[in-house]
Amino acid sequence: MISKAAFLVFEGFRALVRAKVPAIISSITIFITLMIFSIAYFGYINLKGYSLEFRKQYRIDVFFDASLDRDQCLDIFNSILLIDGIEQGDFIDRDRAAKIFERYFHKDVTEIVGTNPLPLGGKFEVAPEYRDVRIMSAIADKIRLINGVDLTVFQSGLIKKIDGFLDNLLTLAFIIGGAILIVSIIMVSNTIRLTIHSKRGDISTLRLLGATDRFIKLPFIIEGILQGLGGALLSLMTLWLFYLLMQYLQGYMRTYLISPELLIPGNIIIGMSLGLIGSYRGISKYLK
Amino acid sequence: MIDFKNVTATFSDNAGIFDLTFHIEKGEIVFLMGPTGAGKSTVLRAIYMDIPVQKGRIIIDGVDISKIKKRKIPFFRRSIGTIFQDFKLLNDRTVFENVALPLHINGVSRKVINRKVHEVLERIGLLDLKKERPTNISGGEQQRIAIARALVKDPKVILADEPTGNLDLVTSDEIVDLLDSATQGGAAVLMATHNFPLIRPRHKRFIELSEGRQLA
Repeated sequence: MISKAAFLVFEGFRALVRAKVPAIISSITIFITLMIFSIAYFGYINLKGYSLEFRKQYRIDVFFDASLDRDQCLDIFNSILLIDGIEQGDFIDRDRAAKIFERYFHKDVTEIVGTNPLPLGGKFEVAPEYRDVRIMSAIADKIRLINGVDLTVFQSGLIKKIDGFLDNLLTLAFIIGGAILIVSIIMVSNTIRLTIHSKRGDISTLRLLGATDRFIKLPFIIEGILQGLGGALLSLMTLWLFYLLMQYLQGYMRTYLISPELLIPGNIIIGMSLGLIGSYRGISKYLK
Repeated sequence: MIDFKNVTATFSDNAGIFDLTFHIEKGEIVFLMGPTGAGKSTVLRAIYMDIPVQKGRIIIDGVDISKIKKRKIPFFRRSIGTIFQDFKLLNDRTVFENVALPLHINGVSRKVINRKVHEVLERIGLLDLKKERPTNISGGEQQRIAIARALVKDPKVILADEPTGNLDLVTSDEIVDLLDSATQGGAAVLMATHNFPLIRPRHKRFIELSEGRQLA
């Protein structure tokens, strides 16, 4: 049994050496697929990173009833902090509100109106997992129902646009990724079918000598896995160069790099799986 | 060893073999005679289960092969040595590897494979060619390698489909000698040929076919 397994593994390696051109074509197909996947994943990681950075600015501004005094407003402020999803808050009294006004309009509100009419309020940051337009709307509604709250404001329109854009982008990436995966499997299996077709005489002889389908299939499957491994190694080498370039560019632009711990096993596993599925599909169709 | 009982095996165009009955003993060589299209190859293909049998029974070494399930056919074929007119050697492998192939299929250990292949190549006198590729040797040598590939697994039944078809008379005679010698080990040999002058001097039993039917 061990002798047979060793023979079949050896046959897989030998088949790879014998059919160099189809092997190179398959490996290049897998390499291109993995490159597209890796770059798409790199794009996704960066998009997600930028999106998280941007979402840090998501906040709910609350204005209290003008008739309430500072202590009453502080009580309401503290009760808002207890709401699920509110991470932290910043209490804004009249003096701070005037300073904010001055920062934006370069004018002292007291000088314009004669008194400080600005209401007391608070800025509330939302916990990362709650930074979504629907959840934030629910939180804003909850705050609005509190007695003494005059107005709640958050950039729902902008958030909605950004969330929608990210969702569409991810859906598109998912569809394109799936299509690339299917095309790659078909290309690998067709390349392997070409190899199989050129060996149909040998396969027929093996069958007449008593070889089972499994005995015939296994070297082709090993050959496919090795082609996948070849494509994966090629893509890792290219990505390493890409990684160096990105590291160099870090000084000029902020990028989120994919960790090699994830990239190396990911590429190898996906590459070998593509080779395995492609070759299995190719040989199974032929032996049907 | 080989029992045909009223066997009919036909193709879609109604060609094939019809109502064949014969018996071949252990250690016996029998020639299947007849012109092209007489059904000689069909008899052999029916034995190694390459075509289905519509009627009758084929019994090989006491086993009714019609009862063998499809997925078990490869295992049954391992017990038969088959030789073809076109040799069916794998050209990208050496002579040694070609002869060793049935033993690899049978899961024999590397050590035993090495010993048996050397033994059989020595027996047919082609040990010197063990590292050659089939494309580098003559047709007669290729056919002897194909016989070695059939003999290496010590089969109880050897089927030879026109093994001398493309060879000259002297080489053909050597091939028949080799097959004849295999019967000394107890194997039953069934050889299809249309070359009557080749088998006539041997005074062996033959079965004559015409249009799929047995004449003698």
